[in-house]
Amino acid sequence: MVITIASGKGGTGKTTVAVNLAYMIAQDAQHPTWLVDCDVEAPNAALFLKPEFIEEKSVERLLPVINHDLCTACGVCVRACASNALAIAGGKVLFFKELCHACGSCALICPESAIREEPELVGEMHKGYSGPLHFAQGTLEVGFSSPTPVIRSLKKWILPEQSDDIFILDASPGTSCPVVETMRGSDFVLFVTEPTPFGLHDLKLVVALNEKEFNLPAGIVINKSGENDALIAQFAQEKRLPILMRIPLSRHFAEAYSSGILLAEDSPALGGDFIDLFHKIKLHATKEKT
Amino acid sequence: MKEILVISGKGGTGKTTVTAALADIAGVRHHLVLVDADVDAANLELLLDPRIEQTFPFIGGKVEEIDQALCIACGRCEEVCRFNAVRYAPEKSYTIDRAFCEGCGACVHQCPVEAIRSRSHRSGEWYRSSSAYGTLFHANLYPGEENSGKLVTQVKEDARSYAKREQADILLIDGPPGIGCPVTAALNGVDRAVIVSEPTLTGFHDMQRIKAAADFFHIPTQLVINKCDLNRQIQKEMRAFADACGMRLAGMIPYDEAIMAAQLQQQPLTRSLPAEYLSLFNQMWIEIYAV
Amino acid sequence: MKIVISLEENNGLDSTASTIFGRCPFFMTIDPTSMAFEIIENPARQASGGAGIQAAQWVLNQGAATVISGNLGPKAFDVLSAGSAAAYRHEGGSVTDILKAFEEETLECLLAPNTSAHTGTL
Repeated sequence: MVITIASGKGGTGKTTVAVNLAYMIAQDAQHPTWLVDCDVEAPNAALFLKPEFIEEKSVERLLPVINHDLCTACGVCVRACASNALAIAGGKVLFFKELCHACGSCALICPESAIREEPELVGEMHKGYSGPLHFAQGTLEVGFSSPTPVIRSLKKWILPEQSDDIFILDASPGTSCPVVETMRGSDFVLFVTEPTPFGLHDLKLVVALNEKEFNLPAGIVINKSGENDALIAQFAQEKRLPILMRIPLSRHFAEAYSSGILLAEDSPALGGDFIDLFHKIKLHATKEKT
Repeated sequence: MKEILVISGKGGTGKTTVTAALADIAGVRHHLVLVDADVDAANLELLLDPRIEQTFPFIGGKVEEIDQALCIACGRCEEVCRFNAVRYAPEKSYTIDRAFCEGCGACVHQCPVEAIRSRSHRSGEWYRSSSAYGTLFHANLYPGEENSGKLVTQVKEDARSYAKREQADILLIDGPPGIGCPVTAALNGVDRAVIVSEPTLTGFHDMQRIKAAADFFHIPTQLVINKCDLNRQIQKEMRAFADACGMRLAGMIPYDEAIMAAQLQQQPLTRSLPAEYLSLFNQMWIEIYAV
Repeated sequence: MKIVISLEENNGLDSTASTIFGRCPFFMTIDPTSMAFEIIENPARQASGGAGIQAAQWVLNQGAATVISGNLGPKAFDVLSAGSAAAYRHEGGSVTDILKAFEEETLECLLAPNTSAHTGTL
């Protein structure tokens, strides 16, 4: 079963929920469990789970290399490049790899066959363990703008075609492409929000995203829960989205988070709540299927 | 005209809350133009209560489209596509899945019968609005779309031109979260970046990364530590880091659960909790503007 | 000789020069001897990435050897440098002001002219 944890707004507690949920399911030991950190621009889950890595794999893309002996500076590749990664100046072709989308168009179109392709490192993936919990993360190389290929490779590496194992995917915040890529193919999406106007506003965006792209079974966790939960509850009711857990606003929890402490370890009662959350997710995920 | 950008690295540190409070303070003494450059999840409008005066369409992306009338189903497009965007179905022949298509144009060039065309589509919109604090430029990128860097640039430049024409003193920009493309687009050409962070492992980590990005553009930075008393150890480390690299501390805000509740009033903090925060942000503004 | 100047507006010789190169709204190409000029919309403005490169490419395609703008991004700089163009940074003002400063050699030179080179290569 694949569960994506998403949020819309940053800072609502997505990673907190993801790591604690994964940790508790693994402790419960009913199923092999994975935490997959798909926030590849800034993967933070490892700060809390402190995994031991046992395997590493590179993510590469193919970049053009121009053979200047064969190149006639005709400019066909420059005109074909949709990303402005090529230019001609001083009778020579210049290549700007930061802009390149690795589409292969220039190599295909060159009339002199003067362009070949070579792999370039785009990101790294790591696999490991944190106690009984399996752990995996992707990291985007500094200076690259597109996290999506790394997320795609990470999921391909870790998620099998069929499995009874539990995979918790920690998505990046926001509602753009990398979040879509993380959600793709999941069995359930868990939205983490906070009971504030910002939280509600961004929850609406990510709910709309799910409705538009995949319509996955979904539920809500209200973090920093308190007297203003009605703000979220009203929207949840309109959208028929169950509120599956509330984590109370607590300075103590915030302090634990700040030092990288797992809330479930710090507070066994809260740990039990995360197990309850898992049971509810299973219930809702299968209910929607039938 | 001074251009001031408020950024954070990590999301949820209080960037928009700080920007709105500064807008309230600055708007009283200066001719202010405001920008919400967080086009994925634009929250500044929730505190400033703007009235939209004009809406502009954003044509952000290109996708390819196969003309079924011309397609000879040779499958060349599927062969060359690096993004798994080409689909084949017996009844429909070859089609392009917009969700995967990156608009690279490889298939357009490789199709032997020129059956594929690039099409632009509207992927968002931006607005010029009026508010009690100054004219606000903000935007919305439709969910699931990309090219937010381009939209950020568009909104910022519109705002900049407008501000210059109207002879505004200050362009105050609520920046996007993260450290990627949209942030570098926002950093382009500003006079000063104010980094709003929090004393947590993740906050400190992301603060360092975003400072590096600002340094690359030679933009002077200042630090605001929100929820400053949440973790005194990390607060100390952050201040030492700032000292060591010549980044001035513009102010600190204590951890205060009342701030969350105050957001419901949909006003800057300086209006919903003036007794607690008016002088704090006054001081912060002086640090940011006058130094 | 042809000079390209990045502009904020289209107002002939009174146009305010832009400090942005890749995404400025307009470019002026001008022959400072005859003062014959042309203003066009920057073709690179709407590029999602690499606007500086596209703008620099355009400059070289015009056969211009000199650019006057604000600070150049590193990629635009590379293209202009490879094309042996010269680049200067202005301090603001109208086209007229800037041309005067150029004549008086008070503009900061970002990229020195290469007297042995030719330009305009596409």
